[in-house]
Amino acid sequence: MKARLGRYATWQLRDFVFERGIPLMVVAALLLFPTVVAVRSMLRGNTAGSTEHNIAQSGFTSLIVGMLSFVIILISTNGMVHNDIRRGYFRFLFAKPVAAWRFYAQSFAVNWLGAMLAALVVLTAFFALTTPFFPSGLFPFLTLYYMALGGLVFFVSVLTRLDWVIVAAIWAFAQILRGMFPPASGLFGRAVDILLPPAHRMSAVGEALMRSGTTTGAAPGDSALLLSVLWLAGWGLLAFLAGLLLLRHRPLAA
Amino acid sequence: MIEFLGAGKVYKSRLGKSVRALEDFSLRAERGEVLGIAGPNGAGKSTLIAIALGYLTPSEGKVTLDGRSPREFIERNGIAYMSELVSIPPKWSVESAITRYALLAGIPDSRMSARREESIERLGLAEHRSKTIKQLSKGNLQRLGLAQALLRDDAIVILDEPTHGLDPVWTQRFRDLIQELRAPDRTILVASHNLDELERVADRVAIIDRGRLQRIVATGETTSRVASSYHISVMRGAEHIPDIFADARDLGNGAFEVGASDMESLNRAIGALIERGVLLTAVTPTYSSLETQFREAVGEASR
Repeated sequence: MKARLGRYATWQLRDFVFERGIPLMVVAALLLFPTVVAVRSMLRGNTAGSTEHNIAQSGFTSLIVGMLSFVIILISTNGMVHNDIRRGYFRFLFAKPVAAWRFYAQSFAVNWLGAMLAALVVLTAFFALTTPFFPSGLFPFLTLYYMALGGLVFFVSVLTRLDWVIVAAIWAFAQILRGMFPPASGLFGRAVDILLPPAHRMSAVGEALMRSGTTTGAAPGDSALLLSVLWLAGWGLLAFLAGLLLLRHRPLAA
Repeated sequence: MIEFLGAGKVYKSRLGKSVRALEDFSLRAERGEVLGIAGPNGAGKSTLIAIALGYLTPSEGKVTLDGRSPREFIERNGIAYMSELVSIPPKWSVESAITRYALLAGIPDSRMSARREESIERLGLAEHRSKTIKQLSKGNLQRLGLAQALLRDDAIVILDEPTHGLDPVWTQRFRDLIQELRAPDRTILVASHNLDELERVADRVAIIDRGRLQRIVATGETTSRVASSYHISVMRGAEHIPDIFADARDLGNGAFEVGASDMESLNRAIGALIERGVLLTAVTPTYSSLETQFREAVGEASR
């Protein structure tokens, strides 16, 4: 008898809701409340449809979506593997006919679904309370962000605890280093651009996807945007696959 | 069948310091056998079990389950495993924990309900089924650990300190369970500190200390062996004891510890006591024979 891993996904989703979804809603509410108040007061002076209104709207949208996505993804993916190892839960789970890498690959997919649902609730509330505008590119953006950032958190979670702290620090450090050493500045800048997580590409892709359908948004055939999307997805996928490879070949109690 | 072939394990710290937990360990637990593993704290039992489960890789040698590497075997077939510390997420209920483990064990929907109920009933967890893990007592948690292990009829059963925290009633019930689990095609490995328990349930007991296999004791032999000393309790005629047992040590309240070289001389001495009108209330080995062997093995290892 093989493990019925597909059926187990409903339990993984349930765990997401109770262990991550509820804390996520609390954190989101705490972040959103002051933001909604600020956005409402700033938009109040502008007429809907005016240039000022659109600029303010798109600026806030990118800022809030970027910030919330970062928080949602970190809460959705942190400790995904390492919590089970540290607390010893893996002992009974993997005495059953199930491979750890399959179990956690499914967990990663289920948590992506959970993150999307959480984002839907949180951002719908945000846009309903501020301005009736829901960016069409939101979910592709979130999925890409989940792959890039979540993939890295997953990889670190296979290796060690405090994964989200480590990844948040790397993410921020990458931004700082890129600011100091842009790719055009020389070999070091080029190396930094390639080797460190592509955090800078995220904001550019976010802006474009969030405004897709508008004249300043993503346009078909935009090769720079396509490269950024591929770069982000590839980087995240590579980190995720490296995590799975470690789970496949590295003993869990090592 | 579980086979250790020259298995060794060295733990290395990040500072480069290394500790050897297991050394050149070779042992085979056959199908149809209940093999006990005994050893003092830090002897290497937990490392041995973690290697048998594939949760650790040996630094030297190899371990196989039915000829396959542990992870390969387990991912294909699963095993019945219960750890010394039962770690289950505290917010799960007893019933949901059993359901989850049953899904991972591959129990089909058609048998899910029956198997879950059978498992809950078998381990006396019916009245606790809706409790969360954090609400369970140590003994009930231990029983849940056993319940999840016995969800399937696995060919390999590994139980690490299975009666740790169980009350005497459930300790006895556990022994009965092991007898029920005995099957010609099943290998059962039980690691325990409790030598009396191992003597009762296992066919052979491997004594390990300082990471090495010290000796293997067939429990059938231990019941026929004489212990090196006995406790004798008398109600009347205590003054005759030193005449018969020159080395008798008075423990007070009519109890004595006496030496015995063989069963005939012990019986002759007891007969002599009875002839002198001594009223005996108990004659018990100071240590069980396995315990004596254990002490010898561990003592030898420390010399």
